[in-house]
Amino acid sequence: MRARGLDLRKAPPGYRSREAGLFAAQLDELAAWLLRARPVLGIGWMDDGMPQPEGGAPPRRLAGRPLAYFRGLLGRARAHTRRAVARLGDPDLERRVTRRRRDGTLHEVNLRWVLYHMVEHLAGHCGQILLLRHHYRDARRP
Amino acid sequence: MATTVRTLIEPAAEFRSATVATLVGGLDEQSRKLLDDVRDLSADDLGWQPAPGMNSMGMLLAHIAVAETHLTEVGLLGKPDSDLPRILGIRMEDDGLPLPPGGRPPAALRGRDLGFFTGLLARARSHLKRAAAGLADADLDRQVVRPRPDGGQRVFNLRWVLYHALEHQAGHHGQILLLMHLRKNAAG
Repeated sequence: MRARGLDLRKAPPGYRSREAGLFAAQLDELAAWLLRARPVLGIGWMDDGMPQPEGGAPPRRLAGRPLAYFRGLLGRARAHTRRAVARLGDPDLERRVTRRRRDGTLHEVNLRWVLYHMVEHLAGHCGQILLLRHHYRDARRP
Repeated sequence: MATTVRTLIEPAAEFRSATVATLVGGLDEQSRKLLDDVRDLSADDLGWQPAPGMNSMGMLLAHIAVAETHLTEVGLLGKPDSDLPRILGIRMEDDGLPLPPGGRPPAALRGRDLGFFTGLLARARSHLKRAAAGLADADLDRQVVRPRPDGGQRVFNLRWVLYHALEHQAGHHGQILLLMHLRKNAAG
């Protein structure tokens, strides 16, 4: 089984332990992905302004942007996802990725969850956007 | 030693199709998060409206159960209509959606506590699982044709039914989170 050029049956080069090497490789993979956010999208992790602090306003980076700007972000994100997912086989869905959270805990997910979470995450914010549109319409009603 | 939190989608057991098992596993994960998010809501919270004409959190929870059951009945089971009172104990219109401008939550939900809504959700999920358990991969391509109010037709397949049950619940879950935020701000 291979994932992104990594042979999961062997210890990666430079590691004596297969398990530790794979763990490190997964972290590298995640770190590399995080660093790729800006080249792929043109904005970085913090530029969406979330989470907002109490009383916060939207980030200046997004001020005055037309719909086409956001459509562009979404289009580039989806194209990037499709390229990555096209390489996955069924066994890859069991593959687990671990990352360290800010509070020090380790969060382990499998790739099946990643794909599921993309759908639930998109759908959840889609529902919120519909509700905000409702509020916005009511707020502008004379 | 650092704690490890595992968030894994495991295919749900007892399904003929691995695809169905994964989709239902996603639904169960979504429900686990939803129930965790709403666990502290009181009957007052559940009936609160940010403004007349806007949905309450209780209405959205009831609507998730109503929609899931209706999708199971007319989608997975191919019935001409759904028998919600028998399965859920409420009628389709009892969720109150869509509210007319200035509308208030429906009488059927007034004063209901969280246990009422979790009961609806549990019955809806059990019904869906029973209907989905026997589906094979090939069944997911089966198409259902439904009449539309404008006289036209709507065509969907069973794969879409299971996908839509998830996106529908996740969308209203997102709205419930936003309403919880608004409720907290309104309460000062």
